[in-house]
Amino acid sequence: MAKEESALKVIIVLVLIAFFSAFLLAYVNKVTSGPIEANKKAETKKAIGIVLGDLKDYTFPENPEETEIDNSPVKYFLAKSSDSSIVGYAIVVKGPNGFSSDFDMMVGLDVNGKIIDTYVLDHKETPGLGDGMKNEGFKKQFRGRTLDNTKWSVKKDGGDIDALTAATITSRAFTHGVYRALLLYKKLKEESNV
Amino acid sequence: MAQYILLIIGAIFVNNVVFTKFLGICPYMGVSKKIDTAIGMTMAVTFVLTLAGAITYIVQNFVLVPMDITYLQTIVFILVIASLVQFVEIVMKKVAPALYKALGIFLPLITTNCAILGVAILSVQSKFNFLLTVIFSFASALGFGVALILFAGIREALDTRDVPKVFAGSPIAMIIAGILALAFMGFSGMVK
Amino acid sequence: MNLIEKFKKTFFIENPVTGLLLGLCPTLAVTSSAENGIGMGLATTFVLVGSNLVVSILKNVIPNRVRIPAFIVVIATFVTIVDMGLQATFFELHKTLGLFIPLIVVNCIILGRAEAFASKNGVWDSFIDGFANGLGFTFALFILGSIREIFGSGAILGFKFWPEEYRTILVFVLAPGAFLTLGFMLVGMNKISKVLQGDK
Repeated sequence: MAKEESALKVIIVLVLIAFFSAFLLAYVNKVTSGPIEANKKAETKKAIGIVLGDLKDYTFPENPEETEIDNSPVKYFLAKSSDSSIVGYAIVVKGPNGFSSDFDMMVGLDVNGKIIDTYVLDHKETPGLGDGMKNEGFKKQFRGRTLDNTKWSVKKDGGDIDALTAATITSRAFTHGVYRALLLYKKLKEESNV
Repeated sequence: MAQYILLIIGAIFVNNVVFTKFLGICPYMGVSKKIDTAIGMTMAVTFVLTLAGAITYIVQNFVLVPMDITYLQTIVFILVIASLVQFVEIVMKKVAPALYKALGIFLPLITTNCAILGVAILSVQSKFNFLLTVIFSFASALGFGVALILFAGIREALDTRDVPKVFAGSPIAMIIAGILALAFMGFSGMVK
Repeated sequence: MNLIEKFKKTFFIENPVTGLLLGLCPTLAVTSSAENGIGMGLATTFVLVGSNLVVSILKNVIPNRVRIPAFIVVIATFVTIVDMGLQATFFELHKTLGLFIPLIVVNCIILGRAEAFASKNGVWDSFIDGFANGLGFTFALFILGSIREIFGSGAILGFKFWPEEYRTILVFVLAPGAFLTLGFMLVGMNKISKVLQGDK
C-alpha cells in the first residue's frame, strides 16, 4: 500500500512542479517579449545609423528583405528618401569562417554602391586580436570602396585589404563579408534594370 | 565529405570544447587523475553527448519550434540529458559493472557537465541539420576526451614528482590546463 | 546562523570556486572583464537564491527518489527567468554572456547547495545560504575578471588606465590566461583560507 501511494505521490508532485514552472515561464515570456523585441529593434536601428554614416533624411522598413548571395543568407534594408528613391543600403551579411565561427556584420552602401561604413553585430572573435575589426584603424580602409575599384581579399592573398595584426583569419572573414554585401548590391542593381 | 572532416577536426582541435569553449571543466578537473578513469569517462561522455545531440535536435525542431515554446529550451534540454544519463547508468551497471564502479559519482555528474548542454545549444544556434548535429556532438566529445586523456597522462606523471607545496593539487592542475590551452591555440587557423 | 561567519566562509574559506572548485566553466569563460564576471555572478546569485528558497519550501513535499530531477526543474525555471529578464533589461550583457546564461542550470554550485543545504534546512537559512554562496561566487569571478582585465586590456570595469598604445599582456583575456590566472589565484586563496582558519 505504501509503495503504491508513494509512486502516485511522486508522479503528482513532479507533474505539479512541471505545470507550475511552465505556467510561470509562459507568463514571464509574455511580459518580456515586448522589451526584448524593442531591444533588438533598437540595436538594428543603431547599427543602420552607424553604417549609413552621414546619410540623412531616410526611412527604412521595419523588417529587412531576405535573400541569398554567394550561398549565404543575407538580409537588407533599403533606405529610401521621402520621394521613395533609394538613397542607401544597409546589408546584413555573414563573415564566413571567422576564427571562432561565422559572424554577422552590417555594411552600409550609398546609392552608387560605395561603402559608407561597417558594423559588426555579433561575434565571438578573439578579444584584442580579431575583435579589432571593430576599430577605426581597420574600418577606415573600407570606406569609399566599391566592388570594382578594389581587389577583394587581404594583401596576403593578393588583394588590397590590410589585415589586422595577428588576426588574418578574422580579417579574411570580414573582407569576404563586405565582398558579399557588394555582390548583393550588384545583383539588386541588375534586377532592377531588367 | 570535406565539410564533415573539417567539422570534426575543427571540433576536436581548433575549437576544442575544453580549451577554447570552456565547457566540461568540472568533470575535467575531477576525473583526470588517472588515465583509466579518463578513458572510461570519455566513452560515457561520447555516448551521452552524441545521443543527446540527436534527441535535442528532434525535440527542438519537432516540438519546441512548432509549438513556439522555445523559451522552454533550457528546461527541456536538461531534462532530456538527465534522463539520458539515468538510462546510461542503468545500462552500464548491467553491461560494464567494473567501469560503473570506477566512475562512481562522476557518472551522474555527467548531467551537470556543461559540455553536454552547451554543445546541444550550440548545435541549435549554428542551425545544424540532424547529421551535422550528430557529427558535431560526437567530435566535440572526442575533443573532450583528447583534452581529458592528455591531462590525465600529465597528472599521473606529476604524481611521482615534487611539486611546490603551495601549488599542489588544484593550482598546478589549472596551470597545466593553461599551458595545454596555449598549445592548442597553435591549431587555430588549421581549418580555413 | 552567524552572518559574519557565514560570509567569511563562503568568501574565503569554502568559496564555491576557489575552495570547492565548483562552477568552473562560467568562471573561466566570462571573466575576460570584471564587469562580465559581476554580471554572471549576480545572475547566478539570483538563481541560487531562488532555487534554494523553493527547494527549502518544498523539501517535505518532494519525494526523495526524484529530488534531483525536481531540483533541476526548479533551477532551470529560474535560469530561464533570468535569461529572459536579462534579454529584456540588460541586452548587451545578455549578448556577452551568451551561451553561459542557460548553462547556469548546470552550474554544480546550485545543484550542490540545493542538495547539501536547502533540502535540509529552513527557509530563512536557505535564503542566506544561497545569497552567501552566490556572492562568494560573484566575489571570485570579480577578482579573476579584474586581474584578467587589468593585465589583458589595461582597464578595470571599462575604465582604461593607460593609453591605447601601451602593450597589454594579451594572453590574460584569452583561454590559456583564464586557466593560468585561476591557478595562481587558487594559490593565493588557499593561503588566505589557511590563515583565516588558523585564527579560529
